[in-house]
Amino acid sequence: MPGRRNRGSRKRSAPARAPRASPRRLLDQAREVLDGGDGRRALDLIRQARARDDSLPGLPVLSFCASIQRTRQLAAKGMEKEAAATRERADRYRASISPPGLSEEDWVLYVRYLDATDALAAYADHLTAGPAMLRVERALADRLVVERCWGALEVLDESHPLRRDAGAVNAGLGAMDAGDWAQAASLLRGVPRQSPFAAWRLFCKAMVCFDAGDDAGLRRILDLLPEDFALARTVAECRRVIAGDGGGDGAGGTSSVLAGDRAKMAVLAGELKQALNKRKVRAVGAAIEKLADALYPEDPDRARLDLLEVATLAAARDLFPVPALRGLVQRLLPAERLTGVMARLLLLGQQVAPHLWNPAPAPVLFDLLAAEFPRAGDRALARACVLETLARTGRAAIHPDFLSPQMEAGLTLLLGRPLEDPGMVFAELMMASLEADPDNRDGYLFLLDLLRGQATDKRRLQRVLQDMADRFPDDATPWLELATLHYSRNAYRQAESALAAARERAPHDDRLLDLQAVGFLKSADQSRRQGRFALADRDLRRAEELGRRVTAPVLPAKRLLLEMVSGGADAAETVAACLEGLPPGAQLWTLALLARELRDSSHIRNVSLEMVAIVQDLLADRVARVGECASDEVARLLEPLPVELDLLYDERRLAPIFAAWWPALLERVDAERLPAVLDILMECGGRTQARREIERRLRGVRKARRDPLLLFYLAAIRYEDGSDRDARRFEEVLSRADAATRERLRAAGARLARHTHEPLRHALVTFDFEALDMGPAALGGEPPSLDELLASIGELLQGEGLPRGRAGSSRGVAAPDPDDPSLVERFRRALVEDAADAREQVAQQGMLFDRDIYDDLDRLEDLIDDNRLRGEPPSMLREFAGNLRAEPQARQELDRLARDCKTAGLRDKLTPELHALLFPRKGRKRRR
Amino acid sequence: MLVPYLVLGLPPSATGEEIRRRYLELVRAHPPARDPERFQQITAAGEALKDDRARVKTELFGMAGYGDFELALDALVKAFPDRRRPPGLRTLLAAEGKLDA
Repeated sequence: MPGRRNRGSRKRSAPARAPRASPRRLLDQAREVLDGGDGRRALDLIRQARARDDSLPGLPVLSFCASIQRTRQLAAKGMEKEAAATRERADRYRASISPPGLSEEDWVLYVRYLDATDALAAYADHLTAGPAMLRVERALADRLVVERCWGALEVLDESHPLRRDAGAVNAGLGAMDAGDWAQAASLLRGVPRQSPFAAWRLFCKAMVCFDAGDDAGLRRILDLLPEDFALARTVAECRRVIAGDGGGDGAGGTSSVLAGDRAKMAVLAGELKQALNKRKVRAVGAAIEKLADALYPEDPDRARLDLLEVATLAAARDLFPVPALRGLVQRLLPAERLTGVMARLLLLGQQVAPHLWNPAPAPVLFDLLAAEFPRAGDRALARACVLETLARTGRAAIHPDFLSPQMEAGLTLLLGRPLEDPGMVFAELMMASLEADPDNRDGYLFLLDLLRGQATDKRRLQRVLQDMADRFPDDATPWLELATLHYSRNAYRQAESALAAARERAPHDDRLLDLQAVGFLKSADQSRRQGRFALADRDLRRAEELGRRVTAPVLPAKRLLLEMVSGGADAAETVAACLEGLPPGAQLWTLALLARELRDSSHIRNVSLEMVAIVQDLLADRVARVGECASDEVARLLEPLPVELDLLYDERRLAPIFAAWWPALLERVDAERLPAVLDILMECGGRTQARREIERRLRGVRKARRDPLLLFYLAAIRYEDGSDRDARRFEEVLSRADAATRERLRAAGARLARHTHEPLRHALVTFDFEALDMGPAALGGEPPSLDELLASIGELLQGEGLPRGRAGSSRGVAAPDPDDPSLVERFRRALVEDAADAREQVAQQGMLFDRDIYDDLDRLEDLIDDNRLRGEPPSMLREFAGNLRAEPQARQELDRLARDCKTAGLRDKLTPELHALLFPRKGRKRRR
Repeated sequence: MLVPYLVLGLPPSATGEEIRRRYLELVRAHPPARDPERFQQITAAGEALKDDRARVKTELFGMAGYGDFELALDALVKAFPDRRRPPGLRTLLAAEGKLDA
């Protein structure tokens, strides 16, 4: 009986237990408790006060008021007999009250708890001999407004302010009730400031300010209202609203009454968030309905679609079951929209979770675009947008060599022809997008980016650039790219004319001058290799005259190389003379570049092995003096060359030149720059050196003072090279990191992921290292839930006997016929497959997730950890499971959970330990 | 996606010209120095609907830009105009528990 328990706990916590409180103090406490509305406790306190001193002034009034309050409470609970008895007691207390002896405070209390008519009569009696009391009159005014018993005023003199101003207030009540506070304020304008009703006039004005958002005015008026005003809680809530507390605690009462529309919306959104987080399918549906109706009542379906998209974002993060998403679409939107909306939601989900990339829903969406976009122009744009999104997401998500047959089937439908070169898939998608929307400049730039990576397809790149130049005649970019392309093919004259065309369009574009300078250097390189030193010298001079910042660091090395190969003088002397004026860092940089140039040009006849040896010796000599270089100079030495110099060097990384001296250089790098340098080293295969350097720096440092970033790098490197594969190393670092450090570590994880392999890569990207302990199934080895739906499309296609083994395909992938009219239909069917059963499936899923299956699984995982069974051999797990299942109720519960896991498709995603507990026999059979 | 339309206070059927006019009006009314958050909200909405291509993209995949469902919901709530409507006296009295008395 919860009620009985509550009463008991209240009794225990009552201050009445404090034996040292004086009777007066007890009365004060009773007064406070009564103000808070707890008549029962007030009576309790009064009883104790009376037991100690029954002659206290104010005792009868307080007893009367507390009894009346308690009577009301009992009556509200339906305890009529008890209420009548308490009322009788109240009447007895009232009989013992002597009004002439009451203080003003007692009078206020007295008139609040008397019937309004009696209260006015009592006060009128008092006025015959006693003075007027403003607080009492205000309390009476409040009761008149609340209870509207204007007839009771007849006991007062006609000139009394209460009677005099009642007419105006009564006239304004209709407007107040209707919420027309401006009208009410104007009707109450005649109420004087000294009137007992003045607070109501002020309150009307306050509400006008609240409505208009005039917070300053509102604050001013609220300050003028008396503390014991009848709507004190509303006043307090107004203060909270203007203080920016959101205008609602969501707990009902005045809070939610005064809250702004946005605050109300936030409460509904909070419900949806909670339902999504808890995977409560039915609650999600109900919350979407409520929120959509409030959000956009003009067209709730539109708002529902938005909220379904929100649920899709949750599904893409595996926070919400995807089959349930289909059921929600069915429930919340008209039946004919199911297919189109599902296709759209699946494409949306892929953008948030690119590993789920799959073009299969796109053809279905295209087939239904007319319903979503009635205008032909919008349809074309939508088509282009979907294709571009697929290209962009796909490029980030999947290597073209790993396209599945169903992906290829979808791509065939999208492109209208079988895929010839999987390497070009994203470029082809982008070209199809540009066909539908040729004015998409960003799309062109992305396509150029895609084609630039295809070293063999320069002709296609040139064609696209030409198209872009025609489409955007004022744009210098395509001409600049054309110039770069021509330079890369050593077509200098064409490059110059493309540059001239670009200059016409953007005379002040710095990129043009940079490219021109790089072009001169490239031309000089070619002339030097061909032994035409005068021409090389001329081009070098032209590059020097342009004075571009991007070429400045490489010019000394280029000039030095030309002098070495062209002059008859001693190479060592030439180099030494040239280096003399340069600072130590620049000397190292120039020598490194020179060594690189000589290595790359060693097959050219004018470069001798002797020259290579001289430069290597000089480089070793300068590295030995690296102590003269500052930390940032050393870090710069290892940085890759700027991207603008791509035309000049096949490889931008300079760090490998220093590979033999990495330890010496690393010692000179300060802690701030070290992470960046470590990243470079990892990129260049210097994992071992990076590890040694970190170990060197951590050696001798107390555990508590070790840099968490270095520890994190070390954990990742050791895991990757296999020297320590304990995931707890990561957890140890993370457990000691504060919020800011965790963010640094997260960023470092994203960087490190590029240089690592699965499963570490996945753990670094998701920043979840628990999964490292769980084996491949927990690391995305199994298809995630959104993928299940996509996979069903592929299964359906295969099930319908699509031809396998495409002619000319090295991978023997199915090649559907793009002209096959049934193909889209099959895709569509796959999307709404067993739609008739979906409702039942959703209901089942709903029951499952409403039962908080994940909570149960979490509890079991805790049990495993508590018993230290994690990682134990199967025999021990089986034994434990046997013991656990010996009790019938536990066995029943485990079997129920196992069934639920199976229905929810979680069986193969469980940890090995959990699997052993839930499926002991089946596991054993499978192993046999 | 409704967010930019709610921010601009326009129906999704609004024409490009209506969107442009409303956008300029709001930007003028909420300069970045006075109300940076609202200004940012308005410019993002204007950007999302600046032309037909942006509008269609917003319509199809606008929600993907938020990445996370909680952020998307927050954006929807923040886009909703925050109108204060003081209720009538009876509602206030009922909320204070005074009506029965």
